[in-house]
Amino acid sequence: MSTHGWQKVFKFTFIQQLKSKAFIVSSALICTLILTMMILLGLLPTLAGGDDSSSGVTGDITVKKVYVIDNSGITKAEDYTDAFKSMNVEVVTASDDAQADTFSDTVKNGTACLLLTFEKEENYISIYAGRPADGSVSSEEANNISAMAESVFNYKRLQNYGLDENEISTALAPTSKNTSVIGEEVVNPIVEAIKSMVPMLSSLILFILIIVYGQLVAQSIALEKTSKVMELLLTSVRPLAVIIGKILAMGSLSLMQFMMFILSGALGGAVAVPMLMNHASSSLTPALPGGAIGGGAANEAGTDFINELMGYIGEALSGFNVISIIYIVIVFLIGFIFFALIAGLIGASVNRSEDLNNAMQPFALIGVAGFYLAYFPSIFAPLEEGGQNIFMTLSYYLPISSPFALPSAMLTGNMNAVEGAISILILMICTVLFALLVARVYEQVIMHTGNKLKLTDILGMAKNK
Amino acid sequence: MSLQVSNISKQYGDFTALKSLSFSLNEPGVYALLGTNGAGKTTAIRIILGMLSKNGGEVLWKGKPLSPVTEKVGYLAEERGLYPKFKIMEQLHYFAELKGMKRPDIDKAIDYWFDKLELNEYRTKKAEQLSKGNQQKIQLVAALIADPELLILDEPLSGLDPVNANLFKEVINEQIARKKYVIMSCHQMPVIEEFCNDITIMHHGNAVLQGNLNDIKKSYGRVNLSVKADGNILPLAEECGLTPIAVTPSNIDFKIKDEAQAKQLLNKIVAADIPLVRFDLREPSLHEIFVEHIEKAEEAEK
Repeated sequence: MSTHGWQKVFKFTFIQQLKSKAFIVSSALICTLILTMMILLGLLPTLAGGDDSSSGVTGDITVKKVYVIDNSGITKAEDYTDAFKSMNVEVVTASDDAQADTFSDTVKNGTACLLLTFEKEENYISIYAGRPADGSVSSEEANNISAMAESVFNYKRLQNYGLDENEISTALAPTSKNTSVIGEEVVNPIVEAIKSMVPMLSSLILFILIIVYGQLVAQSIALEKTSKVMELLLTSVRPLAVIIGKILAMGSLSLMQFMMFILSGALGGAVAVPMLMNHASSSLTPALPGGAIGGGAANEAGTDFINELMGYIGEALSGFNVISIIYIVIVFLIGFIFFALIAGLIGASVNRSEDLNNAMQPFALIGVAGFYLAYFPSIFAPLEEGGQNIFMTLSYYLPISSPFALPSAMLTGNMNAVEGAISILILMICTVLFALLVARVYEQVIMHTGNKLKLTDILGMAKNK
Repeated sequence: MSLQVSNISKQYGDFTALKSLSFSLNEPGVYALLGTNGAGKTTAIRIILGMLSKNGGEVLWKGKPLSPVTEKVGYLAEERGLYPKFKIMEQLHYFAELKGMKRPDIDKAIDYWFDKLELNEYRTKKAEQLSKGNQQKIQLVAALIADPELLILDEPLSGLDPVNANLFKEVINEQIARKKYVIMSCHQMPVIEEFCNDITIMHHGNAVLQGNLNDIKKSYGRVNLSVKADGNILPLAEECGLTPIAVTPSNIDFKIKDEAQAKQLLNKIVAADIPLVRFDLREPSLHEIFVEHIEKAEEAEK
């Protein structure tokens, strides 16, 4: 069973496939799609912003003057001067009640200005932000500025009680609410949502790559057999070298295309994240003004939001590390070889290219079964006690499903390195055994003409050789 | 002894595709494998090339089992095949690299064969853009590119126009002159007679006749008599015990027992003063030998 010459088959198949219109178009199309989707994701909050989008909601401050009337009895209008100064916003305070009475009309008839009024009511303090009638200040910007004013108000209020800066920070620290049965891990819905998304996306991408490229292996072999090129090849190399070269070439191409998709996603992310940050900075309340009151507070708020989101992603993908990435690449390649061997054998068994689609049905069924086994239990697993179920465990170790299940299980931390190694070992043993079977019958199958080969015929060939 | 094929056989279930075929090529030249469709010629060729497993026998090249992977063997298959969508130069480079050739040698060989087979204008084309005959020429280049010592041509001239057929014949002659070993399967008997020293005629997996073509013909003797005369010679032929096997406006053909019978008829024609246009005594053609042996084999199978 000589495999001499497989490298040349690999090189030729790889280059020809790389140059094919199908590969170029599909790569360009999917990469563009991923990039566009990521950018749209970044634009989504802005696009959903409504009619105020035309008047400066992207974080740029259009307000030049803020007229402050402070009747709270807790802070003074002058307290807000420093906070807005670094944002190049001038704070105008009234020297007496008569001047304060004119502010309302000044702002109403003015432009790029805002009236902030602090009033002490019976049980609360009200903060009112009045905008000019010309529409130069959006309601969102007014909200942002009043939120900043509220932060300053809270800060000053606590300062008035004699708290130092650290005590104020502690007092104003955000709170997080969680519930769970005592003794069980706290379930964060965002983390759980990410954990559900990862298996779906990774299984789907791997399924598509393995099935599509498996089909291409079958098509390529069937083409060589039906076009009789195979007879010419077999005067120089053994059939096993042909199938090995082809499978490895297609596997490398699929891995390359997978990396291109990931890079497109990363590039899209690099564009989308600043967009999200920008939006977050213009729409979120500053958490702790303190020394950061004024310029930079809004950007910090955006960074906080992204950091929080990244924190959730990090928690959901707790297994993301070098080892898991190595495992994923290994399982992908072995899984691809496993499925491609099936596809190659089917491709070699057909005598007419038009029979290939029918012949490939078992391959598609096996692939779909593996995908569903990997996908559905991992989606419903959180409903079960302990976050796992028997089908999920089964999907990690069955060769038809482990290539789809292991990557997400490793990334989400549902599978540790030892379990991953066992899963890969099982897949590897099955692939080697299957490869030996294929090697045993492939030469006979590829030269078979006449009646359609059945599984029993192929097994018979293996037995009788 | 360079190529020794000994008792190779192939069985598909109850069906015998090839039964104990043996032959050898002791010296350079062309060996012909002849037979009706389904006789087992292509099966034999595939077994020799190691593409098909055999149920028995062995194929030796210079005393060792023949492995096309390690030996340079050229093969022009009966069913032609190229990648339709790929450029022919890329395909030829691929086939040559599989044979272990390096790029400069490949380019040199391509230049030589493209000049010889008048293919230069198709260098940048894809296979699907070429006519059937030109695709066949490209495949011949693929078979010859590595300068193989053993060349197997399965129906090399089928489907070719007379001009291209002559080009192919020139190539075969060149291979003979360069002391190459050639196995050829062909249905065109005159082509076989033109090139081949030794033959095997096959029928339903069996070899029904084997040997040197000249010896086979000599063994029959000159038993074909073809006569053209300006008069009726049929009564004279009857007197000599001859019955015509074919009567055409230009010829009357007889099968004779020996040359004495022909001499007797010639004497009678001369004596009768019938003007004689042609009196041709010759050995049987390969076509006749082929048909005779196939018919005998079919009779024996009944």
